[in-house]
Amino acid sequence: MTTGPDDAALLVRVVEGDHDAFTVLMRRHEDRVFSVCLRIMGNRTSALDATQETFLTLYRKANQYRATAAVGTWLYRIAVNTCYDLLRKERRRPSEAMPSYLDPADPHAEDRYTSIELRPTVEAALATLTPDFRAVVILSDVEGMSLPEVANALEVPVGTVKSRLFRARRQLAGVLGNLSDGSGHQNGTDP
Amino acid sequence: MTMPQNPRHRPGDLDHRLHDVDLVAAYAGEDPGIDRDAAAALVEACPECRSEFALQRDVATWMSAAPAATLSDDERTLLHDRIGSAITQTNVVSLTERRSRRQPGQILFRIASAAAAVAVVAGLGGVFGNVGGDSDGGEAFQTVSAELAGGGEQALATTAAAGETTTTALAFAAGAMERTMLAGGDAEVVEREIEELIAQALDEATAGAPEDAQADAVNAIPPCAGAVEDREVLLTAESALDGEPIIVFVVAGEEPADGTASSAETPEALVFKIADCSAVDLG
Repeated sequence: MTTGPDDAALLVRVVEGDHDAFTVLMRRHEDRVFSVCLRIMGNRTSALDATQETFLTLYRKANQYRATAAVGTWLYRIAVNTCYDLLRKERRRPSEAMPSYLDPADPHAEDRYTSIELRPTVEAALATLTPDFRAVVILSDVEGMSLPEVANALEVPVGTVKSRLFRARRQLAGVLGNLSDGSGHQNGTDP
Repeated sequence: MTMPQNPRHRPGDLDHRLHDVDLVAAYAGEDPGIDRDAAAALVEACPECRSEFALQRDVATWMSAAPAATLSDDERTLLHDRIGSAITQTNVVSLTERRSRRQPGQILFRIASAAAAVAVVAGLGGVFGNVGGDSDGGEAFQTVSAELAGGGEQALATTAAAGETTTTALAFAAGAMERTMLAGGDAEVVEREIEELIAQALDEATAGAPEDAQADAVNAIPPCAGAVEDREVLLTAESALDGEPIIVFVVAGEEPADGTASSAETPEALVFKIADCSAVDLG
């Protein structure tokens, strides 16, 4: 449970130049922002870069926040856009990051066995989606945001979110089925 | 935490035109904003929808059970250090703070320096004509004059080479003539500096007025200004790449190639070696 001033009040103080308020805000959201960035970027190094850029953008643009959405939603919007930008840059030059399946397992996961065994599969599956589809699944299914919140974060209509979610899950179902078979090929039999 | 089995459904062929797939997707994700009774009735009445609902629900459940990702202690420390350093080194301050720092005298200084530059170029005009006369392979001479135009500043780049003098109008956003001196370093450091400049340019564009008040900023016609051709210059900075002086022009983004709103707003950086105004590609 969050204690202390709410996010909007902290943001007002950030605009006024209060660095401590920024630190509180960052500590409050850094893990979730990192989580979203990790799922989108696919490796921890890029996710850390994206998280850094997200909070620097928040700091610079704090005065542009309009209370039409929660600060957290606005922060997700910045995070997703930052990830999109970084992905575009990575596409323009050869990737230096390790493949996601070589990424070390999350040492803070509740269940290490579960993390080691299953996390690469989740991320490998997410990596097969386009960034637009990936972001919808991450925000909706992984982060548990409502569809209007996802729409707000991604700046698209709710109908677009629903449509992307539907198609992304279909694609994931095929990929996850293949991965769980361990064959890496399309399963030709009925489910 | 117990993870559900991987969903083994294969995507079916549920026709978007015949079924409310959006409702099925929202229902599977337990979205509170939908008419659950209508969704349940749809799934109950339509076998294809029922199958699709099961697939969508399984994937949603599977994804929601993914282990949480958190920063490690080392990553958290690194993140805080880097952000703290970036804020301090690049003097990123809130816009309120920046506005309060801006002094009226700075505006007058900007106008005065621009006017002085116009006078300098007027005096050099004849010199260029003479120099160009017999030279067929000589080094290009380049200078720039500036005059105020609207809210920003417009520069005239005059290039004299091989006997010809050409004048190109350059569009400088307000504040772009005030250039910042950066520390420089290797390509990675310079890239970081450029990213900061681009972010700053976005801030300035949003604020709609020149804001920066860095103490070490230089007001003068930037070298290599003619090389930016007809691009609108938002910010200018000098730096060094592996010890070689360079100049960075942050210019307004061109029409987006991919049609996205974010890329439409994104300025670009053009980098040149000050020594010969040749373009620098940081890769």
